Amino acid sequence: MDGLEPTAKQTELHQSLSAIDTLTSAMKSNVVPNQEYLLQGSILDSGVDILLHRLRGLCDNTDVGLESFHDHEACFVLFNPAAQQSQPLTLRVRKAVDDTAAPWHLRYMGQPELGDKNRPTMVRSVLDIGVGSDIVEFLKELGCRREFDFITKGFIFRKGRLKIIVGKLYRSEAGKAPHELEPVSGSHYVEMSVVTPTGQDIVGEDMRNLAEQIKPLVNLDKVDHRRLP
Amino acid sequence: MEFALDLMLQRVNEMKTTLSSLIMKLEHDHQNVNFPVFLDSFSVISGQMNTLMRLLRSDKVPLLKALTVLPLSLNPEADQALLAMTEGRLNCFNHEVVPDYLRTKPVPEVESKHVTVEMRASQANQDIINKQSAQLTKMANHVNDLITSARDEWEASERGGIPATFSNNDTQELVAALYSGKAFKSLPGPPPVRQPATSTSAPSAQVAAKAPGPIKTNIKMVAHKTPLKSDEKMIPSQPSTTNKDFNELHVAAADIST
Repeated sequence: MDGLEPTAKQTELHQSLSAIDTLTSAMKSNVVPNQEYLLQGSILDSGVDILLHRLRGLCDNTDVGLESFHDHEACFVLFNPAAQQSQPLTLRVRKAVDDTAAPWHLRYMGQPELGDKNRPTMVRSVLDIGVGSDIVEFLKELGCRREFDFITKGFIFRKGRLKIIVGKLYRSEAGKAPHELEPVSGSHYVEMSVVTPTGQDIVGEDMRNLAEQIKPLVNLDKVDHRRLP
Repeated sequence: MEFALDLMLQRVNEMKTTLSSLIMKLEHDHQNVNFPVFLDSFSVISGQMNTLMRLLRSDKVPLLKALTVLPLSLNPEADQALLAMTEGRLNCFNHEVVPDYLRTKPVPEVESKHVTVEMRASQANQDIINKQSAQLTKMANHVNDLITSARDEWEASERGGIPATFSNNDTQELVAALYSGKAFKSLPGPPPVRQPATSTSAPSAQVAAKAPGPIKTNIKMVAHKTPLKSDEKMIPSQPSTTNKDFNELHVAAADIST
């Protein structure tokens, strides 16, 4: 019996090591989509219909009509007691309220880099993982703290590999019907993003071009997260 | 003289080609002619006109005013050679067309009218002229002001219309809410432990202030659970209870959508 246990553990260890090896080699060969190119903006609620109309004309999924989403997102923070100074690790868990069969979504987001003026978009490192509904429990067991919750509702558009989201943020409150949710502001947020492997900077130009086309309505730009009020 | 005539003929022919090509364009290709193209042709023609005028005034050309043109023969019959030479514009050279084609002075009536106008212009009082020109300037300025103010108003309304669709403050607020959760947790002094059930019955104004309550509850639950379980059991054995945990905060939202 004593002889069996180490072997089982060893196999397990070996398996996890080979998984890490595979992941590392994948990371090294730049096939993991972990860079998100990002532009952000907002539009007043009064102008949303015009923007949606414009985007329906510009984007690919015109034939199926508007594609809507209604998500609940929670942000978890993992503090590292060993390094007090460092940024705490934040993880986001997101689930679709309107589609209970859909898997939950866990996402790591790094700090966005603005780069210099010549760089068309912000870039941040992200990791997206589809997860099961027990992720919340798992994160709690890891020692993560649930920082805040919110609800987003809106529409998603695609153009090539660009993703455009027009959505509204609501404070998440228990015991509230969806139509009485309290919105965060009188505007919808607009986000254009692409997730690609490292080193595909050319996509930033595509994003700039599309952003120019909806410029009179929305100013999609790099937003410095460190300078936010 | 011969040389000067050749030069003149050459210039006039150039101008004719340009004009006819423009006319061709207008007649047969008018859907593709836009204003810049049109203006380009015009500037070419006016350039050619200038060259011709400069040529006429230059030293190489003798003073044409001093020369007389004499019609040597008038023929009332149609002349094929003439027709070919003028590209179908003139078919006979008779007494009817000669005065028009070889005229060096305006018609006497026109000339007398011109002279009267000149006379009136020279006789006008200097004061009246000054007065009238001042009046005209005033009126022109007034009209100019009107147009400028109208344009300003129009541009202002246009400028005012565009930014009405977005506001940078809202962008900042929304991004801050998305990434730091500012809008969701900037709520002072929440009660330490509060069950979600109580907040459902509370008025909406208070609910916002109580939002962090459930979060704290969760942390407490974590604190309770962690010591109970062994360190190796990171993954919970009952996923169904987890789902309940997440949902228990947002029962209503989920209920209505399902």
